[in-house]
Amino acid sequence: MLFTSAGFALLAALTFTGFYLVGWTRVVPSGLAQRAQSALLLFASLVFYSFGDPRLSILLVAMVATNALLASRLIRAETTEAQRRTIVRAGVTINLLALGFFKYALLVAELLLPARFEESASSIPLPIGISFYTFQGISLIVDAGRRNDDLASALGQARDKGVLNYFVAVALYISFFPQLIAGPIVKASSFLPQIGLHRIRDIRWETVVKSLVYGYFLKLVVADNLNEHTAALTQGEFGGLTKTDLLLLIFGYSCQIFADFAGYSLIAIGLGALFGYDLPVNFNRPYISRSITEFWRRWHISLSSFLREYLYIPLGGNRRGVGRTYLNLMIVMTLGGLWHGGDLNFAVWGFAHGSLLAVERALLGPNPTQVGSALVDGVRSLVVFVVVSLLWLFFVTPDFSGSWQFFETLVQARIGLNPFGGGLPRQTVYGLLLFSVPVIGYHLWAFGFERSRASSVAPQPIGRTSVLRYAELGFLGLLVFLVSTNSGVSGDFIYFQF
Amino acid sequence: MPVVIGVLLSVLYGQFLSSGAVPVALLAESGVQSSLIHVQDAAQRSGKLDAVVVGSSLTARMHESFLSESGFELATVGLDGQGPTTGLDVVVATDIDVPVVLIEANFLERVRGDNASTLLDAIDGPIGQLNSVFPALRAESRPSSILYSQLKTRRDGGLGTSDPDVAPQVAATCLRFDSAHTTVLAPELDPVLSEQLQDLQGEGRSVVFYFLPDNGRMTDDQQAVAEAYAARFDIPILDLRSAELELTYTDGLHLNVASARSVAHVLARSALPVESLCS
Repeated sequence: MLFTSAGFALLAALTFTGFYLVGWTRVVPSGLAQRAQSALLLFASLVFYSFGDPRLSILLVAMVATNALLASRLIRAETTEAQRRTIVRAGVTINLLALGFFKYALLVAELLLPARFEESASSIPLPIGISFYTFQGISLIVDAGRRNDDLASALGQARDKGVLNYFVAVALYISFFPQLIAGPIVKASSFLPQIGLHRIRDIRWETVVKSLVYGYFLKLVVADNLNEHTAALTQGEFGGLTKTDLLLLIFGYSCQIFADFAGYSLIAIGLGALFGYDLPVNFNRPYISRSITEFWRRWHISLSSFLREYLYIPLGGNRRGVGRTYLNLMIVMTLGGLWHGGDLNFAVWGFAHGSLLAVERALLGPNPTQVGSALVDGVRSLVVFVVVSLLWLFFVTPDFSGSWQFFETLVQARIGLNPFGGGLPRQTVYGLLLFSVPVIGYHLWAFGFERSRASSVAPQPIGRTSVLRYAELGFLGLLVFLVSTNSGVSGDFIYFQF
Repeated sequence: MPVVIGVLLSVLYGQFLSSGAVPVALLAESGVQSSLIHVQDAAQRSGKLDAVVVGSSLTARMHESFLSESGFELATVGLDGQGPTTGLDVVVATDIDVPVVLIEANFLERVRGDNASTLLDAIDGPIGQLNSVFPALRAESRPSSILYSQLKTRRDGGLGTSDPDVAPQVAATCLRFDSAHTTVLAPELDPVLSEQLQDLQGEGRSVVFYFLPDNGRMTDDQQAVAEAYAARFDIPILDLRSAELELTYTDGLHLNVASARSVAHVLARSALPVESLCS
């Protein structure tokens, strides 16, 4: 079910009404009301996930049950350290096996097995959101194994209220519908303590409204409109295009993928806040980054954090010497690339990012994000944007040869400085330029809930004075107007395929 | 509050559109949106139409308002990147009530496009209902399309004349082929288009083909395909390529707005009333 569909609007409205009706009535005791709220959210999440293909929920339920069982063993006081290590290994392995089977069976069959297995492997469906909920399962198991205080306390409290309550809590953590399919990836230790009785008066409406308006604007107006104009990249039609045309296309895609994914994340954050749950910020204006290192602190933050905490640090991080640090960076990023899918394109994309991180660390040291002069910072941001954009090519072209063909054409094509005089239709150039403007603007203006660019001055939330507040309201109203009048043809979110 | 402001802005915008203070978009920056402009209009005026014009992006340049300047009520289902089969799908699926169907025959060999469902989704269901009630929500009201349309029209030399009688002596050549007509190329007929034509005629609708000026791009193969269908289904062809009009192309294939307007006048006047066609 898409956040942009009428069916979802109905589901969200019904769930919201039921959720706060339960919390509002004084007839129901608070403990029971809290459990009813959690059960309602869980039910809505299952409807959301299985809408269109109920079979998908079988794997989800199985993974929830497995992770819940293992976590319950991990938080028992009598479980020994050795047993905990075994359970953690088993839990991580089960989650990775599920992910690997459904996501990489075809890749393995292509690379390692006889040809007759390829057909069978290609018929294995890819359950939507599996990359996200298996990672949340791993987070639950590893953190429970580490005896994270917040998590142990939350799991213990849920278990004390009964087995059913415990399973509902874990199931809600793994399948909470706002972030089930494409994140942000939430840590169990930050989500589970939030399960409690939520009342309508506690809703942070400012977060809800801003996140939803910005999110839907980015998705429907920016990403969905850009989608039609960047189609040449997916179709591999580069004949007759100039260098300017090709760069315009890939910069347009850069804006599109940002608007699509950041839009989804903002909608998820807004919906989470609507039901009283804080979800982590996933994007912090990544295209103003002055280094690849900084880019990964601003882009898909929840994935970067996950990879750092559960992969990079366990591999040794930067504690085992310079060479091993570089190797770790490349391993983590290559695996991070493969997390997006079992194609060579994703591996190359991840390896390229890992290599750039290593080179950057070698040249600029471990902290290449120090603020410089405006000019130097501007040039660095531009270089990072160009590099990151060119690497997005591995995301958008159907295969590696398509990416290679783009680069070949880019080298051989004439420059053609006038974008309206090249090989792209004027409609396309107009669309790419017009709908990229909001993304550029998004990176230049601070939003209320976002931290501004790292600087010596503490960031100030906008809307503090009444004039700014009214201006901000008017701006949000304008975005609502554009969502209603200027949306593109609604399509899937790009990250649904991962 | 932002939602209230957004709704108020939309209502105000709708008033500007209705009063003509803000012109609707004749063109769009997106192929799908361009098609939607026409499809939404055709569905909206179903039952009041004398004819519907179905075709590719060549036909899409003939905005419905240009065709209706002839005194007849016509709608355009010209779809960017598509052949007439997709347009006919839309006409049938949306049950557009119209007695005459004019079909562009320049590219009849084109395979069916894949965006008919997108277009149908946009006019069916709750969103489609909203579009019909609130003009501000239609594709022709998109601010980005209006801006594009204004810039493009200005760049291509303006809107041309709204007077359909500026060149009254200009008419399309009418071609007829009997069932014995064969071409050297003897193309195979597409079963989907054949069935669509059969259904339209079976419902008592008049079907007319037309060749639009295309700067000499049409090949002998494409001409043969059109003639084969015309012969098989006894459909007259109006050839507007032979009309003596001064035409300008924007990209070597598509007419600019002013030229498309002139051609629209000639087409409407030549085809309607259908009883006097080819007389």
